Amino acid sequence: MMRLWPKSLAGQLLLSLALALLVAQLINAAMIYRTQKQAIENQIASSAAVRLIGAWDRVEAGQPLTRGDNRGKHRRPRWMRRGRYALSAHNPITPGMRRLPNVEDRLSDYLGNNGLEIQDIAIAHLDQPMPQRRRRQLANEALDSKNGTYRTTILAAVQKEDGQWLSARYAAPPRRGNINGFLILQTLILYLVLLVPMALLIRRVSRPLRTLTKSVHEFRDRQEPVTLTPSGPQDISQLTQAFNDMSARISTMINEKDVMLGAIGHDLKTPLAALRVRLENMDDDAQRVQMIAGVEDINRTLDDILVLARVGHPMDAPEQVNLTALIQTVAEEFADLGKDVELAESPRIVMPLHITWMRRAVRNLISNAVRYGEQARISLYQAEDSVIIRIDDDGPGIAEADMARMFEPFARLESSRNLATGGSGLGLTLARAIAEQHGGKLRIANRIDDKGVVIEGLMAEFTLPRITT
Amino acid sequence: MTDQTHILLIDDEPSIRQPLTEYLERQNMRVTEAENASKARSEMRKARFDIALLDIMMPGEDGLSLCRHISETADMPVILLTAKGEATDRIIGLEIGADDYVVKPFDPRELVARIKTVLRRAHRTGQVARDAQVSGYEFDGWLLDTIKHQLTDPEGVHVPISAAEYRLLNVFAEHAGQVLNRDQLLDMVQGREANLFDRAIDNQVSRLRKKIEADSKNPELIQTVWGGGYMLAANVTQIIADERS
Repeated sequence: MMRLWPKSLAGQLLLSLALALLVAQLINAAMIYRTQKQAIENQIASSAAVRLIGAWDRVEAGQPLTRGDNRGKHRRPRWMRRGRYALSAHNPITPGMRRLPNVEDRLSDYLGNNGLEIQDIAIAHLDQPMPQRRRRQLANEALDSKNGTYRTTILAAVQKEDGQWLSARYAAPPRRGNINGFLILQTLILYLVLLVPMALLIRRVSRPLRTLTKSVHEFRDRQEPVTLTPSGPQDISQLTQAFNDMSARISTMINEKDVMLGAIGHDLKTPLAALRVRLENMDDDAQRVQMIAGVEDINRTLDDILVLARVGHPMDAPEQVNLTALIQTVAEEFADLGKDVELAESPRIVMPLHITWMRRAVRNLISNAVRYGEQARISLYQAEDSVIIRIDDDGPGIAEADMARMFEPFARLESSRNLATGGSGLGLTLARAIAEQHGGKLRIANRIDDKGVVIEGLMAEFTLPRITT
Repeated sequence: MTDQTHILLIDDEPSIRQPLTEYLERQNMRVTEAENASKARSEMRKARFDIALLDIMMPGEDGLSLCRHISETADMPVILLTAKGEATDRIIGLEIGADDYVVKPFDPRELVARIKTVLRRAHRTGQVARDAQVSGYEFDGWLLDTIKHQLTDPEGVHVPISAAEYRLLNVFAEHAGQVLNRDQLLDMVQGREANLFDRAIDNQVSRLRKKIEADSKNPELIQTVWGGGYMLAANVTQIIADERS
C-alpha cells in the first residue's frame, strides 16, 4: 500500500487533490440520488392520492368505477381512463410484490389531510408494463419516450372502514434520465479544470527545487560558490537566492580559512625555526634535548592541525601508488627508531591514493600502536571490494565507553592509555579524516580472540574501497 | 683560511639569521647574511660563495625568483629554507634549480649534513653536469626521478621508498654496472640522517630489493657480487632535464 504512495512533492500533491475531489464527487452523487429518490416517491404518492380520492368520491356517490357503465352523468372523468380501478374484498397487493413503505407513509398523510377514513394502505411497484387496450395509448404512454422502455406499473390500494379495498393501477411516472453519466462527465471536467493547472504549477515549484538539491550535493566538493538562476514562484526563487548567498559566504569562509592557515603555518614556524636554531647553541645538554623535543612536539601538532584543515580539499589528484611499499617504508621508519614493528607478508596492492596523506595516516596508526601497545603488528590484505590495513597492538585497549570519543580532536581519556603520552591528540582524528577522504573508513576495537573473548590490545582497521577496473 | 666553506644566508628574519650564523660559524664555516634579494645580489657581485641558503617566503622579490636567477647565472648550489610543508612548493623549488631543501623548523645539524652532501656532489659532478642537470634515471622500465625523489615502476605506479633507500638507489644508478663495496656505498650514501651509519648497508639493500625485485630472494636488478659488494645490473639511461628558458 505504501509503495503506491508517491514520494515526490508533485506526486503527493496531485494524488491528494485527486482523492479529495473523488470523495467530494461521491458525496455529491449520494446527495443527488437521495433528492431524486424523494422526488419520485413524492410524485408516486401524490398521483396515487389524486386517483384514490377521486375514485373514493365516486364510490361514495354510488358511481361506477369500471368502463362497463360509462355513459351520461356517470361518465368517468378523463383522468380515470388512464388507469384501472377496482373494489375488492381482499388486499390486491400480495406479499410477493415490491412495496414502497416511504410512499405509503406519504400517501397516508395526503389521504388523512383530505378527510378519508381508512383502515389500511398499501402501494407496490410492479415490474410488468401497464396492460393497455388501445394502440394509441400504447404509443403515447406505455412506451417511455425518453429511453424507449415500457413504463412499469404502480398498484395503490386503501381499505375502507367497511373492509373493502379500493385499488388503482396506473403507469409509473417516467424514469428520469440516467444521472451516472452526468456525474462521471462532471467529475472528468473537474479533474481537467483543477488538476492540469495544478500540475503545471507544481512543476514550476519542483523543478527549481530539484536543481537546488543537486547543487547542494555538488557544493560539498567544491570551493567556488554556486550561482543558480532564481526561478519559480517567489517563495522558491527566494530560497534559491538564499542558497546562492549562503554558498558565496561558505566559499569565502573556506578560502579565508585556507589563507589563515597558510599564515599561521608561516608565522608560527618561523619563530619555531628560530627557537630550534638557538637551542643548538645551548650548553646544557640535558636541557637542550628536552627543549628540542618540546619544539618538535609543537611542530608536529601544528602540522597535524594544518593537514586536518586541508583534508577534504585535495590540492592534487590521487596517483597510482604501491600501497604495500608505502606501508613497508613507514614500518621501516619505526623499526629504524628501535620500535617493535612487524609487517606480515602482504600481496602487492596498487591503488589511487593521496600519497602524502596516506603515509601520514599509516604513520599515525603505527605510532599509536607502538606508543600505547609496545608492539605493532601490521597486516595488509584484500577483501572482496576493499583493501584493509589492520594494526594490532598489545596495549591495555580502551574502555568501550571511551571508544567513540577516541576520534574527537584532542580527546583525553582517564584511562592509562592516555597518560604520559606526547602526541598531538589529533592522530586518530586525522587518520579517520584521511580514510574518509579516500572514501574508506577507520574502525578501532578491542581485540577479541577466536572465542569472542576480549584479549589485551587494540585493533585499528583502515578500510579503503577497491575500485575494480 | 681559504678552505673554509663560505655561505650566503638569505632570510628576512633576523631571529633566524643571527643564531644560524652563530651556529654555522661554530661549525667552522664562514657566513655572510643578506636580509633580502637585492642585498643578496649585491653580495654576490662582491664575493664568491660556495653555497646559498635561501628562504622562500620573503617580502619583495621572493626566494624562488632569486633561486632561478642564481641557478641561471652563478655556479653556486642552493638549499631552500621553507616554512611550508606543502610538497608542491618543494618540487617547484627543486625544479627551478635548487639542490635541496629543509623545512622549518629544521635541525641545524641536519642542515650542516645537507650542506656537506650538496657541496660534495657539486665537486664530484663538476660544472659541466650542472649545465645539463640530470633529472632522473631509467633502468629496466623503472624510473628514478631525482627532482621529486620518486620511484616509479614499469607500470607507472608510484613506489614509496625511504630517503635512505632513495640515496642508495641513486648511487647505484650513477654507478650502474660497477661493483660497489659496502665502504664505498656508505661513503657515497651518507647524508642527512646520523643513524644511517648505524645501519648495515645490507639491511638497506634487502629492503630496496623487497620493493623493486620481482622475487627478492632471487634478485635480478641489484645483484650481490660475491666477496665484493653490490651492483645495479641493468642498462641505465640518464634523463636530462629540459633546458630552462
